[in-house]
Amino acid sequence: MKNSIKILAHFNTPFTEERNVLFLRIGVLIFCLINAIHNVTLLEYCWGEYKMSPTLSLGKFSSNFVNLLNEGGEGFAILLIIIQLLCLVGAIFLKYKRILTFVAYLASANLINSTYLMNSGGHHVILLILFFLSLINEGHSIVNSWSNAINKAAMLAIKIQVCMIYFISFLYKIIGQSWLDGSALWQTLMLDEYTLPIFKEIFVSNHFLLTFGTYFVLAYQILFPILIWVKKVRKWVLLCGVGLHLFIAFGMGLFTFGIAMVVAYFAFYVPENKISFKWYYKPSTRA
Amino acid sequence: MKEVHFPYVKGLIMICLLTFHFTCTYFYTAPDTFNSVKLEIISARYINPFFHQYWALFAPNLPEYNVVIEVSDKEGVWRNISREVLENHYAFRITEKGRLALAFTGIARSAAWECAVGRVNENDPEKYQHILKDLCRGYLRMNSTDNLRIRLTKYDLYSVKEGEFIF
Repeated sequence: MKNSIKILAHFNTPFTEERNVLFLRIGVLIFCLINAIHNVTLLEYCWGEYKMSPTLSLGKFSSNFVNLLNEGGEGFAILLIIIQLLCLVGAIFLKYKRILTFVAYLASANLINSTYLMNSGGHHVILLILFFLSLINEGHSIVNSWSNAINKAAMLAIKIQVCMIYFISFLYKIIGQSWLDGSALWQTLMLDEYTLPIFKEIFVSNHFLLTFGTYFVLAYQILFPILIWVKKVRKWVLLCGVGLHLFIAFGMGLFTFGIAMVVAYFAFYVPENKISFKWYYKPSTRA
Repeated sequence: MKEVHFPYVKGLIMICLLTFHFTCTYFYTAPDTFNSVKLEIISARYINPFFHQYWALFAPNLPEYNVVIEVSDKEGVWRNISREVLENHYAFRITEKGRLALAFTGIARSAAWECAVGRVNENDPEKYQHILKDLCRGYLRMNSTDNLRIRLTKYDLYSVKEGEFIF
């Protein structure tokens, strides 16, 4: 009973993760900037005359909001990219954080859903983070207020979502033979699109390393949702994760996924430093 | 009038919302072995419009073959598209080249599977072949009416040729 009360009372305590939110906002902005450069380079393949990708075509209700680019349209796509980036920058510097982030979310959803085939899981990670960020206004953190409670719930949602990714991914892997017999990493590096020729040369003959790597991924995915809540080991868990995701980004070539997961880690930890972020809008509204 | 204050009502509502959201997320994304078909369909109504996600890359089992894509117009000279997109992907790791490579190889593998197995999709038996043709036409800047033939060559992970499909 005491524990339940403690959990419920958590939503009344002041929101103290402003720095995490700021790093998340900057991380998402950098991801969207990289994605925008990709998209502009591929403009005619994404939305123009030579449109390549079929659309995600989500449910009817959301069609009016997040599938507006299904028929293509380079001009409209560029407009959405500009809106997305401006809103993300605005959400860092201005006080209308919720509305600006939500507009950025809608613009991003339209851009991402219409280029489904060229996306990775990273795009979905960023979309989900953006949605939850659109519920957060770190400037509104008056104790016992609804705004504060929503901030706390949304931040918790981002953390649970990251844990969920690992947990679900683990469930899929443990029903696969190649993961259980330790050959999955070798098999991945033998696939043309998920390898680098130099990696193949170095790793493919080293069976011990590849088997260890396979089981490490399995162990990491099931242990992350548990250990990340333990403050003492959190930093080390995230450090392992950064290594893993940089390997995925550069070694396996899933650049956007690797970077998106590293961005998501800011929900759990931001490095301490002496930067004061004076330019960052943060009114003192605490009671 | 005295204001009645419920200190934990916010917490209770937030916990309920989070529990609902992530229970639906679980049933939408979890593999069939750990899932209920009925609950998956119900949760899809909530998750699909705005929270679509899929976390089964490289699982449960990885593909056991590579596919080389070659294209040709009427004259019959085959151009190896796979080599072009993959070499760009290896050379420019952080650029958009990787996204092109992943799109091509992923669809080519599905198209080869479709060719080998036969009818995969009831509504459109040549679904992936059509998508691959659109991809190749876009890449080659061809019109949708231009004639295009695609040759997919399937290799196992030790680079031994397993089959060839032309469509």
